Amino acid sequence: MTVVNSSHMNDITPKNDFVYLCQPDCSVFARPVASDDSDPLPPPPPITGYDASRVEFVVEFKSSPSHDPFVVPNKQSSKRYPLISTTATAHEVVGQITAYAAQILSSQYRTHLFTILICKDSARLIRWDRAGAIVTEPISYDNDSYLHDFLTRYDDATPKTRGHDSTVADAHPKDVKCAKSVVPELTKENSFLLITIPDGSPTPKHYVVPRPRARHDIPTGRWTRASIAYDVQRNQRVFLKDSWRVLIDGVKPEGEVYDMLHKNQVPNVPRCSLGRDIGDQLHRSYTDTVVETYIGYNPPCFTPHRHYRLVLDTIGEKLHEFKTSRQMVKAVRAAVHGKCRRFCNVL
Amino acid sequence: MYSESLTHIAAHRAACEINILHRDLSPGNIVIVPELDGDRDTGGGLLIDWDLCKVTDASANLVSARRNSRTVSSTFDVQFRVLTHFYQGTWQFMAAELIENPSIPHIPEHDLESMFWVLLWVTILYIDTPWSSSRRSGILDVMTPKVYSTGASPSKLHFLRDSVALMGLRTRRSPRVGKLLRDIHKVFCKLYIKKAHLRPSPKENESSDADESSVADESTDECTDEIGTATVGATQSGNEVEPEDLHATLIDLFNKALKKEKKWGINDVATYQPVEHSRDMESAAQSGPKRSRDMGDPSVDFNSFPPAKRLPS
Repeated sequence: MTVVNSSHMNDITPKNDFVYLCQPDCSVFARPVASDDSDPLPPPPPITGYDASRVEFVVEFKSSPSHDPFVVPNKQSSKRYPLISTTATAHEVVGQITAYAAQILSSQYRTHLFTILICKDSARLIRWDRAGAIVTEPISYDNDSYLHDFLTRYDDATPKTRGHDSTVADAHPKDVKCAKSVVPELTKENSFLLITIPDGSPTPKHYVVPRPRARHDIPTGRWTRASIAYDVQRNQRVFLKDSWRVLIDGVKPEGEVYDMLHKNQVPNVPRCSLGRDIGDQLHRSYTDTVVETYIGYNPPCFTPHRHYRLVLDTIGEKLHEFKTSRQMVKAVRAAVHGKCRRFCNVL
Repeated sequence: MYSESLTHIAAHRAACEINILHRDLSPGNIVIVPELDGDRDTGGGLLIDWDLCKVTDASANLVSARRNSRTVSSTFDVQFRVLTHFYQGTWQFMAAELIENPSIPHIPEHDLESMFWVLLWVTILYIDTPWSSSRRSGILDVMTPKVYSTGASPSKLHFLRDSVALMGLRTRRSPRVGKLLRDIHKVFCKLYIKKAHLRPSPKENESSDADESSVADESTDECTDEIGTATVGATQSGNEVEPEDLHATLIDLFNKALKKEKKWGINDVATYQPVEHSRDMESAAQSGPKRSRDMGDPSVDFNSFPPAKRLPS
């Protein structure tokens, strides 16, 4: 791993929607990996600034123990206190590390992310995912080896364990060329990823999508990334929705809903060609499980999420970009009509 | 011919065997498509984003199915609404009743009401009207509930019960849009006033559903008298209007509005109409329609598209 002092570096994150610069004190980048691929991709460019779309994890330093935003739980007391301290400094620090996490989680395809917060003599590890964040108790890193253990293990860990989405890779220039010729929306993009969706057949399906934007949003939730994509197998333009669906009884995966709508000939819903849960257990949120183990039940704010991808073959225009108001009203009627059919009485 | 009609009935029956609530309607979830997709008539629009919808198995008797759905998993519904509110930011389009009372379950009528808010939102922000920017901001202010203020502000419900709330909303290039909005508003105005007056007596409700066919009529004057006495909360049990009637009524209004193409403006392309940010809302509060004076969360930016929605770029 390469550790960089990025506290005064420029934030050079591409496609960045943040209105302020993110300058974490320390940022950690992965070593270039020797590839045994016969057709290797070009090596990553040298580090010239802080790029959230390439960083492994960040470390933030605070000079005083009083800047630690989290409260040490009192194990003797059965009463539960809020984890986050109510001081203004605490809110500021929490806001800062949350912004760093949000920027990394949105500009990369990640299942989870670690952050290290060091307040003078103690450190805290934070693990972020789509259901929330887990914070360790303070680690006195001069006496305990946990921080050291974390760093050495992280160094040895596979990209998957580190939180990188194993179903996403850089797109091959050959595929990018085809994508640009078939999908006009992709011609203005300059960085592409290849997304894989298993569909139960021996050959999983591949799609070329633009690199995601760094979105200024809270890091939890469904994090829907919708893009007009290129379907490599079928050589056509599709709508690809990458999101973390909520695991709540009664909420079906969207693909199943489309199947049901199509089967029942409900009009005015798009054609859906594929909808699948992605990856293994790492593509399921973990925070909710930990909370449940820790406090004995799962409050609704820690909603379990599962990584899901959906491909629609019908692509529409945005409602508020109508050419004529008649067109817009017709579209709303079509949507009402679709609903109408669903509740009509048997003849 | 015979087999064709059989297929038709089968399809029709099949459509009734599922009962799906979308529950997350917003301008981002309705998209414009060409009216013909291959040989399929699309009607010019599609409803997308079904990932938070709720599927219930409805029996042939829809009334009982709906009654049952009222008792099932209300905690789930509340949990869902927590999700919708805080993670999606699309509750400008949520039915007034659901905002007022988070414990009542989501029913089909709520989805239909969302369609009205969607149409109103697009009109206010993208169609030229004689309304001033502060008046239009006032409407958006009504649509944006005050999450963190103490006590729910009843502005959305008041807006629907106020029979003259959309008076003067004229869409100059295509008058039909304004007329349609006012007509739909009228439908919900009557519906909400009726809901407020109905006591939870199932028998009475069933007979009252018959009146709904006439809600699209032009007579609205009686609404105004009742506003003062209207109360919230008569929504706890089965007093809703038959959704079939409401659907039919709305479709009818849309059909009527869209009937004569030459009555519509040509090339009246979407043009963004600037509005004020809610922190400048004091003036809107003075000149706007009657509603809550609670200005709540000052950080809401009305000029942006609802967050967490697709904006592929």
